[in-house]
Amino acid sequence: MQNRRDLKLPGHQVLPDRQRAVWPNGGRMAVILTLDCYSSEAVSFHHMLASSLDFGVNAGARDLAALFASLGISVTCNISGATVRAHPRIAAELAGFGHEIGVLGDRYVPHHGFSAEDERDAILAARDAVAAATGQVPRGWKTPQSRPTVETLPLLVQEGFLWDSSLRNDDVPYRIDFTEGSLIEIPAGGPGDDSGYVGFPAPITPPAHVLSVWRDEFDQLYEESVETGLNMLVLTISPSFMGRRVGLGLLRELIHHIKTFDEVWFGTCGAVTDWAQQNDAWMQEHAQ
Amino acid sequence: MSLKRFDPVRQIAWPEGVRLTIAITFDFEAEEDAHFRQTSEVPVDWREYGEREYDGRQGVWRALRVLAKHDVKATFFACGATLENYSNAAKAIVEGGHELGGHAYHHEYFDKLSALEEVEALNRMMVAFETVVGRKPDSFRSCSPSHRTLANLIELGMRLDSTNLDHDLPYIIEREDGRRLLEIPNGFGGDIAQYGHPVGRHLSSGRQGIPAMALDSWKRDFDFAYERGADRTEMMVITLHPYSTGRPSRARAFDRFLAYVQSHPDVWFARMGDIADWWLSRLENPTAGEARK
Repeated sequence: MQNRRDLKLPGHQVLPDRQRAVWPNGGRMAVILTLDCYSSEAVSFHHMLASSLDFGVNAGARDLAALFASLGISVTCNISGATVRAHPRIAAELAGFGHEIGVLGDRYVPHHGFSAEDERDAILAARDAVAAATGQVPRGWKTPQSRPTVETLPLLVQEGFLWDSSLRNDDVPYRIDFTEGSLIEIPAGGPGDDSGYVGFPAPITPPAHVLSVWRDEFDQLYEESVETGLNMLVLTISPSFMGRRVGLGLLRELIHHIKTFDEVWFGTCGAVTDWAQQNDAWMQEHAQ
Repeated sequence: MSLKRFDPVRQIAWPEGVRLTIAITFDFEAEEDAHFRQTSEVPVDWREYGEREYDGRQGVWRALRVLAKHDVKATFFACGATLENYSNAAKAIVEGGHELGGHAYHHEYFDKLSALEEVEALNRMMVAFETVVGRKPDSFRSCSPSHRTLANLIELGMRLDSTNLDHDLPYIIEREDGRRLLEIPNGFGGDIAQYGHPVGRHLSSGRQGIPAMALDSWKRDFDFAYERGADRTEMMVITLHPYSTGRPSRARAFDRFLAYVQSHPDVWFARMGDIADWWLSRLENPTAGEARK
């Protein structure tokens, strides 16, 4: 059996000092909304699921972007390279609403099984596609299906990415130091990822239940932040499914609920990264 | 070595005034399960790995906060490697008054190991407990036992096991040489049943269970046990995992469950060792029950 130490992702972790740190508006609770935008061009199958995926780039992502903008919230839209090449306008349109554009891999496939070379090619192809469509080099990355390899994060650092959101292991952002430089990790979580509830054929889960889980995720983190300090909720939203009317209504209701609380900061992954870099909150070596 | 299993002695009553005994148990294994299932043929699934790491980084701490809020003492069955990797959590569990039992070293599936590998894993677990918390465990739960496991536990001097799913009250297991173990059977409706496996290996992620529905299931289980507890000896063992129930929305359902249970009088939240203390003290003739195969 391999030594488990060999199974650790590389890099040295530095966690925020949760008691001392506050979010940019002085609050203790951050809500980060992220979109996973990919279309049939990013997958290798062609059946009804592929067609349902295209709803996202054709309509869902735009409606979500407009909804969030109308509520005064900037979100992070992660788009796959293959999707941007096939639909170059969508990235610029989403950016036009004031949202951040990140990269969701090149094709929507897990990275395990990629050689380091293939992986670098995928990272560069996706980055260049997004940069060409928006006129701006994207600063962040999320590995499709949240399935990176041990090479992914060091490669991202080498290629100048500043944040990653591929890991699912925490409720606070943290810095990972590599010999090549640092990356801000913005971990997401399973219960906050809509792909556990919706998909094709949809709906799998009653919307009222999804709303109840997400409201409870927020309420719990908000309440306990009095004791723990800094907390963060990252929601992963699929425009192909949550961008339909039921999802739009659900998200609007959720945001109205969240907005009844003080000390909440709606941020993007990029804004979390800026905050981390400008802040002296990064004090604790990872030693829990 | 063959083992004899005796039926529970149903005439044993709980302490005066106790209508229902409930044991809250957590299997604290963090990334060890993802680790053990990784082989040279199966690449590491870093998504699953991260979902499991959440356990030691956040989930177990949240579970401890919810337990402390209700002043409930629980039992944590922990992997040896998990104690080593999250030693602060291990110490917090002990300081919180909870029981710390063994759960193998790397969350090994003993039915997939050789006899020697199983013994080595158990010994390594014992050493990890001594190193991290200063004492060996006397209670144990396996995720996947072999036909040798119970005899090995007796050999190690374990007092109780909570691996089996085969009964609803504690019962005695006896080795050929007369040495015994108290089996406190595991329950069946914990978080694995309610939320499923954290990560699927398909395009879509694993289906996420709904905390409100888990709460409904736990309450129904409790209600029936509490009802029957009025006129028979009744025990509820619930098995949770900090990587799963330690997620915010789920911890909230667990919090609501504890509040619901505590709104009922005459419920005893017992650690596994408390149950063993009581049961063994009342068991005049340990093998009074009928021997089963």
